[in-house]
Amino acid sequence: MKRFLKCAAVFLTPVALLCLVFFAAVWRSGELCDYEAAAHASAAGDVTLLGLAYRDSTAAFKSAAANDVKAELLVLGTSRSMQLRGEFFSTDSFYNAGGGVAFLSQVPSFLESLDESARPERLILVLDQYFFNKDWLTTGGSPVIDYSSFARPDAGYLLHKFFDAYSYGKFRVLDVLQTPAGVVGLSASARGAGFYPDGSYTYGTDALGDGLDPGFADSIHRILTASNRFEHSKEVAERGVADLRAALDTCQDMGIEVTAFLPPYAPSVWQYMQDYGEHTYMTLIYDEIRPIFDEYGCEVFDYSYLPETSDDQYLDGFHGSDRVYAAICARLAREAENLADVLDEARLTALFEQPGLPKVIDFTA
Amino acid sequence: MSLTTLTFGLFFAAVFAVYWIAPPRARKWVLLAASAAFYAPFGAAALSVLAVCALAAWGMGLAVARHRGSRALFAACVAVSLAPLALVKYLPGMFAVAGVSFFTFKIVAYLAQVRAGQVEPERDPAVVAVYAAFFPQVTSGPIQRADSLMPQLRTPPAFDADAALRGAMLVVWGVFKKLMIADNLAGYAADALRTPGTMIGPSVLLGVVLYAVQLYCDFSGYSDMVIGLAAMLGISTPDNFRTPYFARSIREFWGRWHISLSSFLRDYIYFPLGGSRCGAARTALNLMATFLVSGVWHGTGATFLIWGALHGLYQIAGRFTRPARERVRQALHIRADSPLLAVWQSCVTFALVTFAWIFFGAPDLGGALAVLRQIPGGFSLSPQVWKNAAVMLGFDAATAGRMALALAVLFGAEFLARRDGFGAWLEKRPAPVRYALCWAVCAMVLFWGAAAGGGFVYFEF
Repeated sequence: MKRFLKCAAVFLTPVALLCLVFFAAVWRSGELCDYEAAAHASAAGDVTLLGLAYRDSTAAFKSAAANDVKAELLVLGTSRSMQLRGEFFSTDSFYNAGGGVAFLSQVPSFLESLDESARPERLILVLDQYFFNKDWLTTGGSPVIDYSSFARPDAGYLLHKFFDAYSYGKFRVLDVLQTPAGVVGLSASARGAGFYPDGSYTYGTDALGDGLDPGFADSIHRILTASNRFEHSKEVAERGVADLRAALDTCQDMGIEVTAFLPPYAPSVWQYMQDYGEHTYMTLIYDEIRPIFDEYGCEVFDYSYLPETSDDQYLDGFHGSDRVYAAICARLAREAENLADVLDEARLTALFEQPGLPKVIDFTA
Repeated sequence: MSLTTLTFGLFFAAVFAVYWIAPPRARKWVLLAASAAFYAPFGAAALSVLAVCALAAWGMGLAVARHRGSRALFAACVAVSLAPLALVKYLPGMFAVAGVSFFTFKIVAYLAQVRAGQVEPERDPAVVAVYAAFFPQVTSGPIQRADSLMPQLRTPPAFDADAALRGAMLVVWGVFKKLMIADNLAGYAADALRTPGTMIGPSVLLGVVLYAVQLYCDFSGYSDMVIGLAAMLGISTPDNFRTPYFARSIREFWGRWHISLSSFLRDYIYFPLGGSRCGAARTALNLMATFLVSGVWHGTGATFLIWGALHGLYQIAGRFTRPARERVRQALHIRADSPLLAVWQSCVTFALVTFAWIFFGAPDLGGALAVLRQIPGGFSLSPQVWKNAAVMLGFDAATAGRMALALAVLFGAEFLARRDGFGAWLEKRPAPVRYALCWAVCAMVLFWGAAAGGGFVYFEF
């Protein structure tokens, strides 16, 4: 028995040490954190960058944080709203709850998840074009979200994912072991990607190079295969319009002033869709919804194509970088009466035109 | 609980400690308790079925021994033993009973051996219970015979460090096969079998070949783990796989693949039907009947029946064309021990087996036919076409490289170990080689392996 145990120990010791080192990285990265506590800490500014790699409870996170911040100006939408930074606005009472909804039909429930005292006075609502695409709407089913439910960590699963990520060169163990205080999650630690205390999202090192979809090959593939937010359609879906009305009804009932916009595609992707001719519904959305916004006394703008931006300023075919959202805010400063007091067009234009990397703005400059 | 999870690892460590601390006469109770604890998560109903089957096996063994001459009694006992299997497979709404295909066959084998006088009927119900429910084997075999297993349960062998180390190495090897190869290949193979219409022919063909590898690594990896775990408890288990894809004929393949089942079918279906002792026509019928039973045992759909029938046809064709093939070999002046001949025969055998796996793995007959229709499309020997085929299947350079390395390690080691079996082969290597190989495969599993806890393919049978 002694010989067997000795041999087993000789074999298992380095294996155990390796697992221990990686488990230490898992622990130090913050991936095992209490997500709800981290959400509150992020809203309080104690967590400066929250970027979990292997759990996604963004809706619950944004609801909890929005409840804490009680911002006067709130941003709401999908991932295509997350780049609106607090630095673009001249108010401290701001929170970006982008990622809190995946479907337009979820806007009322998100707003209802906020305490009455946490409800904003003004809402910037980002309307993804496919909210009005009948085929896309049938794919997801608009699930009901439990805003109190945060995904729990699974240590064994995380250890496995860490080994896998390391094998693809996604992080260095020593770097993760030295994760600074206030940075939570492997995405934040390894790539500098995650949510700031104002709720906006940074893509970290992905914004320093060619982005997430070099050449927009994935977006083109989706256009050609009518898949994954690029489903074909030639008319505006009635269900999308109905969802919009429901969202505006809720805002009206809550006394929330709404400014909305259709977010941009990378110019070449937009042009590709126009030439391809199967996504003509996108050019019809604004004319369909503008009268509805007028009815509610709200504003809407169509920023689907921003000719002042260039392809290299986009992370992928339909996610703009900081510069693109600076351009959007510059336009809002010029066009949106409801936001005129919190947006400085000259400053935003200067940020957009700032020299430097195409996807990055240095807010300290 | 799955054998590849940390939970099972901790469970086995506890069982190992208690087992070897306990006095020999108490060890069967340790195994019985461990087996009950292992099986309990499958549900009280399933556990009850297993317990009742084990108890019935004890009683039936004694009855069959007392009335060895009574064919009717023996037939009735076999029918009772197989009843849970039939009910689970064919009664709509019946609850699942994990491992029913395996422990019912173990019980039938026990009764047959008692009747034949090969074993004495076991008077200790605990020994019979552990025999039927032995936790490493209960869900997916091997179907170890009573004359092999029961004496070891009755009189547990003393701790043998060499056997335990051999077992531990086999467990590591089994985990490598399962997590590094089988589970990583599963997604690619499934796409080819379930949605062949979305791919070019070479992609489908590549996916089918990968399915053959996945199936082998999944099942043989599981068997390696089971044999290794049992060896660590001092219990010797016969090999269940012996590098079957190096077989040079279908007949040899079935002597190397799922040996415990094929030998069971040979001894209790084929031989009682007359085997090859009758004329050619009757032999052919016996072969076909045996493999149809094998097909039905694996599953209830038409595809499993076709799979079994194909192997029956292969066996019949192989047997009756052997003289002609031998004459061709001699006419071509090819030596019987020629390496080129061996390679040719192994390739042909692998192709036949893989063709049959299409029916085994397809969701239904229509799906199998869709795979067959798609394979010839766009076929080419051009390397670029095959590169595209791999990309279409979902491989990128990194993943393809990893899997190629893992398969090289797998088939390299198994080729070298083809005569001794992997455990015995590795035991003969110098200690640094043994440690290096085990660490290397362990590192591959940690960094490149699929997440643990995935199901085993043969668990479904």
